[in-house]
Amino acid sequence: MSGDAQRGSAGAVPTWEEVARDHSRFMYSVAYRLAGNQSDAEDVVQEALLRVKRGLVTYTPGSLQGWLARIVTNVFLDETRRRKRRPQTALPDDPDRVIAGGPAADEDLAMRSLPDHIQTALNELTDEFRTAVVLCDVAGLSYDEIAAHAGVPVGTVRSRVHRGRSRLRELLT
Amino acid sequence: MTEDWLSAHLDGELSAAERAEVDAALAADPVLAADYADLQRVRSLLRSGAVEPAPGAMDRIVAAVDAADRDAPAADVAPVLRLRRRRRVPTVAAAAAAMVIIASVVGGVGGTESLPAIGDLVAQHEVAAAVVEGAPMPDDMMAMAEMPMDDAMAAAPPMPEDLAMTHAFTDGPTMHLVYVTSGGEPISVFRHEGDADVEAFGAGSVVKADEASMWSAPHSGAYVAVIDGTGYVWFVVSAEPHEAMMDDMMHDLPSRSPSLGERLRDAADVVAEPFRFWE
Repeated sequence: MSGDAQRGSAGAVPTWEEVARDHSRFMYSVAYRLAGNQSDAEDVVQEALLRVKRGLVTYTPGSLQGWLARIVTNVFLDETRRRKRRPQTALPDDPDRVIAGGPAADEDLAMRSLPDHIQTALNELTDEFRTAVVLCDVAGLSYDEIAAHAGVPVGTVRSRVHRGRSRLRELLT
Repeated sequence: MTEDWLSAHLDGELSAAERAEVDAALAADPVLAADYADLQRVRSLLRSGAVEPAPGAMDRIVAAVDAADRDAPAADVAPVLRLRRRRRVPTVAAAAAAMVIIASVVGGVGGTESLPAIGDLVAQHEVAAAVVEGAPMPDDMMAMAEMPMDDAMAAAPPMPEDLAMTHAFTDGPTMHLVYVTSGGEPISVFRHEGDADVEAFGAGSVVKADEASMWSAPHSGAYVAVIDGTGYVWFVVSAEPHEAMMDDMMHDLPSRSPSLGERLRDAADVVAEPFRFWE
């Protein structure tokens, strides 16, 4: 299983103070790689930490960072869905179907203020591929863990991780 | 081997036999070996490229979380629905019916080979709904239902008194929740990851509510609402006309006025989070 080295101590239920003190930077890393800009990443971490503090998420002993990464990912995907939801009966305005187009003005500013060619490439991936790659490479989750989280077969995860990385390879070279 | 074995090899996700196969292919094929090396570089870049938050950002965020949790009533920030615990949980028959419904919903979402059998869905729902008030579940099912949800229920913010969740069930990407309104009407809610095939519901009327669109289809005295969502699709099944569903779902909100879809999402999150970690 990959990523053991990145995981936190297993076993005891983490306290809120532990999570905030020791793991919020890790959560930020995952959130930033998913969200693609500082402002959204901070919002995602804040909501994820709030869920932890309020006990809205149940800790499963074994992989603290894996658990936190999944919470961050859930918040990110929820936010993405919330923003995409539109009162519409037709699909042409669906943002997913817009092929080209630069980042919104505020995202553009955030990206300029934090130049990062890895992030620029990651932002080009669809949510499915970016989430798979980030959970694998940034959060250190195994394919099994990612599959359980996404509710897809392990083979799908393997394909997404590979296709995501292959696309990044094209973008970064 | 398929191409994605290269990444799986890098991640240590292959069996010994598969790994040996990849190793042999890499030794024999310089082009493949170059691809492998490129993928390895991408992987290393991602793994080494730590992202530092802005100075002071984490302190500010943690302080904001502390403040939000201390000062604001929970309902102002987090889910609107309290998942009030009730013992009127379904019998085995209801659970079985729910699984049939889930199967039909899963078969109908995003696919073309099997459109949602709304008539079946409604009929099954009525079976499930009829026994919501029935006998308690057997001990093993009770334990299954209680284990991950108790924490969420205990922590969740207040729910309007007229809407009580009596049943929750997940099957892979699909979740089934049953609510009972103050009038005793059961409302079945399914959430499935994936997009709706809107064309499949063209016969129903479209109801706009906040940012959600509902495709409603009256059927045998019951109604099915399909709620648009990107990434998620919601099916709401009720004996009530969709206007009444809306009233029930929108009733007694705190100051903000989230959409129906948002309220469903919020309610489901409370349940879904523990379920996601429940292997």
